[in-house]
Amino acid sequence: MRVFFVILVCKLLHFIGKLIGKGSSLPGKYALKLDRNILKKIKMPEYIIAVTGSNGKTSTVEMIAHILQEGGKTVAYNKEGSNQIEGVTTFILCNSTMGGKVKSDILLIESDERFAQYTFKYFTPTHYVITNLYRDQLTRNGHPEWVYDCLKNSIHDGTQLILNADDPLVSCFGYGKDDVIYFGADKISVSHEKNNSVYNDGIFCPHCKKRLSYEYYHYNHIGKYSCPNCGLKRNNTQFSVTAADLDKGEIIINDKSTIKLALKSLYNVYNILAAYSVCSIVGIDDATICKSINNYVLKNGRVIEFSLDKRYGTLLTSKHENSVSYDQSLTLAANDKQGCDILIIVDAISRKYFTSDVSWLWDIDFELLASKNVGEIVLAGLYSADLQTRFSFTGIEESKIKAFSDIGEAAEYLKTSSDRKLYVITCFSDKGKFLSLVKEEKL
Amino acid sequence: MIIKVLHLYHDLMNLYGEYGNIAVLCRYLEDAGIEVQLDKVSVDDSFNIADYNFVYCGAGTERNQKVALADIISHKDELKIYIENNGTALFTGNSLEMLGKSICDRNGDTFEALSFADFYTYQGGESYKKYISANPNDTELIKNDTRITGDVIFKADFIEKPLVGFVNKCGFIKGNFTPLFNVVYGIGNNRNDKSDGIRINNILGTYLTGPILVKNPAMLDYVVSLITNGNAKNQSYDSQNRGYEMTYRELMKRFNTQG
Ligand SMILES: [Zn+2]
Repeated sequence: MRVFFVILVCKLLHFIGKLIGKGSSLPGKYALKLDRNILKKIKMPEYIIAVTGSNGKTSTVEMIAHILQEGGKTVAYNKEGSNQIEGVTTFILCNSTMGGKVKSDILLIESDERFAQYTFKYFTPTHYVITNLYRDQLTRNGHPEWVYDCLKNSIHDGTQLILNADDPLVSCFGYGKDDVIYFGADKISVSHEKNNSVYNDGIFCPHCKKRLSYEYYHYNHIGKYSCPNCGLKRNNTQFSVTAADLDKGEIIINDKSTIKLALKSLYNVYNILAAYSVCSIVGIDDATICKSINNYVLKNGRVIEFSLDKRYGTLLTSKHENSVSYDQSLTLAANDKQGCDILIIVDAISRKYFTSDVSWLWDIDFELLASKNVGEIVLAGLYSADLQTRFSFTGIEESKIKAFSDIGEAAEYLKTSSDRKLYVITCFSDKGKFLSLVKEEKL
Repeated sequence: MIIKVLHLYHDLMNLYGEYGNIAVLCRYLEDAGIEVQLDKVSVDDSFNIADYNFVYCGAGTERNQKVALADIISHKDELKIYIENNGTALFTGNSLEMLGKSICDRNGDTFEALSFADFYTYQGGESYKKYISANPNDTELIKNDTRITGDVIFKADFIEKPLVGFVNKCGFIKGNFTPLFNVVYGIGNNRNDKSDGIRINNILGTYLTGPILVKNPAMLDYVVSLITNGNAKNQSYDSQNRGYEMTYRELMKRFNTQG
């Protein structure tokens, strides 16, 4: 099959798909049917950057693209978010000439953790960023070690790995490899000696399964660890957050570059650091990176400001079935010294597949909301009863908690319940149901 | 009455939210006026199973399961007597696999298990190839599955209501044993049997994963009645009951449209 023809079919289908509002994986699916090896035949640019991991892929990719563009590079990336092989095929072919050459300087790919092994059979990234491995969508992903084994199959010679040194499981990808760059955070203001999460996936060494010891934690199992038994330890980092003041919203990278944070979470700090590292490696100068990322507001709609009648609020998009993502949002809200109310919505667990499993609610550190900054907690959606059961074990007084199975009723109640700031914590699958009831405010 | 509860490998066999089982169980017993002593233990801790009235172990990653298995083998004799004396235990997810003869992992390595029942576990990859070469007519048993994750409905005549939950496993078990539940919807011990789990006296093993006693108040009633010989006053929790009814309704809707 001629490359020209396959690209033509893919572009046509993509065009039609856009007109009728269809997803972006179908054109790639047909292209792969026409020629299974089509991606092998495409002339790739000098740099192919891939980003994967449980959390922060989309945000990290968006920031990398932004920095590279500010640095004068042309970048093709899968901003439509379809990160399995079909979607990646669509976006690569649609960004190629009819002769089969990628049109941009850099190809930037957000890749699904479990499916990267299939995508990278056909071409190999030059730079491969792995952000973290958490308990994430276990209804599809099994568990982090299962995902680790899948991801390991996607790593080939000729790729430089750019790894989060602070995640013990992720750091194992670098084991016995030479071409590895590590990034991480030094001991900073938010580091703590004890892991206060509901569970700790850093208790046992991922390599030898004896107990790890931690000098400090940043959050969950992210921190400075070493294994007294086999010697696995946090690697030295080439790119480091050397200071951080989250109240002020400022971090310093490698003792010299100051970056102001639009979103004051440690989570965001790691995404910025990953983006900083890879952009620096492919030759963007420090000043350009800092300038483009300073106070950068993500466009992917994760944080949305809104008003509900006279009340003002922030929606923090979190991922259902991902306790680390929830913990980050809860931390942000619980630390708001102005005082706030909280609305948590669990209605459809996923928009992509069916499941009724709420086990993950038990992994979330809802105890964080026992903070004096938090006023009332409203639980809403189909699974509000399961949330209520979980909250009955947090030690938070029952009188502070209200539950509604109907999201509209919850919103109606919140209109007049108080005038405190409102934080809404929910997932992509459910946020639209709330946003349709409020007025979004531009930042 | 004092009930002593042992949570085995609480920090190792904790795929997700398994401590919820212990949380609702202890609350139930305490609300029924029973004093509870909870011990959470892990590898290398010393403990004697004979000291307890209830033993629980949750699911873990395949690697963690092998670490737990190596440790629990050193308690084999205690556990054997515990079973013979009709002690109550609950093994959820892949922890039940430890009760069988052996576990063959995806690399084809075989680990000797507790051998309290006559069954074998196959965990994908090379283990399936081994199974199929020994049982060439039984390819349907496992097909090319790598990992099975999915919602399920099970039932049993000794539990008042059907059970709802989730399975997240890569192991199939096969052998001669008494299963625990019948499969109504979803997958059980393997693709041929419409049964889930294993029962040895009052040792209950099920592939249901996570906080199954939170999701299934009727099963919590049953476990409590086993532990206390029916001497605990029945407790009922409104949000827990509503959570169950809602999940059962959603799963039945799914079952009726998909079959
Ligand atoms: Zn080790």
